[in-house]
Amino acid sequence: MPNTAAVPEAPAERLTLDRIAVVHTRKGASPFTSLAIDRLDVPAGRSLGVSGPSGAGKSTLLHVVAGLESPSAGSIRWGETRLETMGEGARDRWRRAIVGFVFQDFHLVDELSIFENVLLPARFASFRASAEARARAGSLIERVGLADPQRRAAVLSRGERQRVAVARALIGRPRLLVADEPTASLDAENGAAIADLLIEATREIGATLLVAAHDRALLDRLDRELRLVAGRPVAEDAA
Amino acid sequence: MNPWSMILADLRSLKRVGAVIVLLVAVAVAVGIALGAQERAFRRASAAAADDFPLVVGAAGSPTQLVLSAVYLRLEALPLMEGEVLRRLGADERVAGVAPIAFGDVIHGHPLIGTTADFASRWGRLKPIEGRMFAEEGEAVVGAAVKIAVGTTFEPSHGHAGGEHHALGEEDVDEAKHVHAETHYTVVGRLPATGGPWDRAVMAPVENVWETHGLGNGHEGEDHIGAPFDAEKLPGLPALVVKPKSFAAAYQLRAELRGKGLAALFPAEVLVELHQLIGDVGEILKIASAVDDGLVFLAVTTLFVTIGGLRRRRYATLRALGAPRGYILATVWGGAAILVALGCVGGLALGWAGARLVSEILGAQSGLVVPVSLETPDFLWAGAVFLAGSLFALVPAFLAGRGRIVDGLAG
Repeated sequence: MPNTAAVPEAPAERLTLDRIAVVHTRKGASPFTSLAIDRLDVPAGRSLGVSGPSGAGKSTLLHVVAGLESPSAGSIRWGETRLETMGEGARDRWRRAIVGFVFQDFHLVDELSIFENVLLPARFASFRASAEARARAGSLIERVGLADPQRRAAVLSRGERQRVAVARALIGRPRLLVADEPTASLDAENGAAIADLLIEATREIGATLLVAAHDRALLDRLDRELRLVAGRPVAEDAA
Repeated sequence: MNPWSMILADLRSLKRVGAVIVLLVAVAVAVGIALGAQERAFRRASAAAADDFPLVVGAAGSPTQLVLSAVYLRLEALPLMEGEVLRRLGADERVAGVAPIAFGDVIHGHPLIGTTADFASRWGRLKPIEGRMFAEEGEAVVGAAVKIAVGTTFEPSHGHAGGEHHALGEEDVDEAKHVHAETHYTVVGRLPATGGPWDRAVMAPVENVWETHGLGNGHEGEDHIGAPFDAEKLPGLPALVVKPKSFAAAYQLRAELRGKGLAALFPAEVLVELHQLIGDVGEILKIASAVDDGLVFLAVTTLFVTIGGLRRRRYATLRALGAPRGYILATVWGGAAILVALGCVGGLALGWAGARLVSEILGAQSGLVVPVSLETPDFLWAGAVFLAGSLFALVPAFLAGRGRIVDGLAG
């Protein structure tokens, strides 16, 4: 399996979705198509905004791209890597190496410090977080504008929490940063700051950025926008 | 993979629930530990107390009652055997020593036992830690736990010691009513602790006890105490302790005495029966405590599964961030195993404390010093509980890693 992308210094790859369909079949209900995308191409290092009303399939698209959910049909490729053919363990490894994830509701571990939250993904694979990872966690915390790395996550404000979440998403030098409504739980000021962070930080490391959002200000700053309605693209305007 | 920081975070978030789990496991473990340690300690203490009583002889009757009275001083009116037995055994060449045990009097709640200086010093094994051994009539020695000072002079009362409401060291109304005003004893010595019920006894020359009750002194008019007891007519006796010269002699004597219609037995025989009974009861209790442990584990496992359900989103988030299934499994299992381990350690301490408490109560009732110690079987038991507990913990661990990540993220 081509796993060259696991090397931290490897560049981002082109993301290609081909005839993707996600169909939910529930007992006693007729099959429901939550996502149907004929073709989607995101060149390496570019950003894509996904917009659309609630329930339009934005999160589903993000989950499919991040390897959290397998499409019912179609193929999804990261460079030469075909996600839909991978086993679960391989997809876990791929996700760990390639993807950084930012959630709407931050999902920090409240009982841990800022530093430990940021460093957490570094402990998924190795017993000891390397000195390099620790140094990186420290500089990322500084980069996202947080003062005291030893503060507990539980005491942070919403804006601070999302900053921690962004730093956590960046700790593994992701090639693909996926953010699901990253500003929806924040006020305008904090939302703008997080948008800045996401865009600048991904540009700095040359990663591809995928953002699902309602936030017009954020969407307008991305390279392209994909608008979904009922799981289908309705317009795609290049910025 | 290093789930340590997540395990700590999970434990922190449990707060009081974690403490309750530890306590549940600790209590479950402690019951088994306490039972085992207490049973073992009691066997040893009861066996040690019988060490100085190689062969006990009494009138035909309940052998158990004879042993309980002579060895453990659970004094009850025993049928008397003829005093002649004492003289005959004293002259028997297979006998190294023989001593009468005569009781019936009480002083300040302590039983007054009439015997020989030879037996009071346990065939020479015990040297008084204070004063000296009694050497003539009117003198007495006290056991280590007797609350009467050396040098005190007292008058014994007729009656039994150890009544339920009769505190040691105090003279109760009943005792005061039956004072033998004509007899006086002076305490001349105190014996070292033996760990047995005799530590609570006051020992005096048997001649004195006989005379107090108008039974003569057991000698042909001489004025010495102790063997040989050569009076024409010796008073009847409730019990004799015999120290045979050899094993063979012990068995011969036992057979001969039994042939004459007497009760003659090695206290060990009665102890074996007693220990077997304790063992059987202990076995039932241990099974009950094991069932109890099973129930506690079931409850704790259910609790962990429930907690795992509440943390579904937390673990799904970790998975989305790249954590392998094994990381989640290790996190949930590790947290549960730590709580169970803490419970097992706590259970060892609690079990030891519980057994100590039972020992205190037993000791206060019987005078038997029952030292409790934790030994290999106790640690093995705690280890077995930990092993079982960590196997149980695999259930919530597997369940937590199961299911689709996206469902978990949805909450």
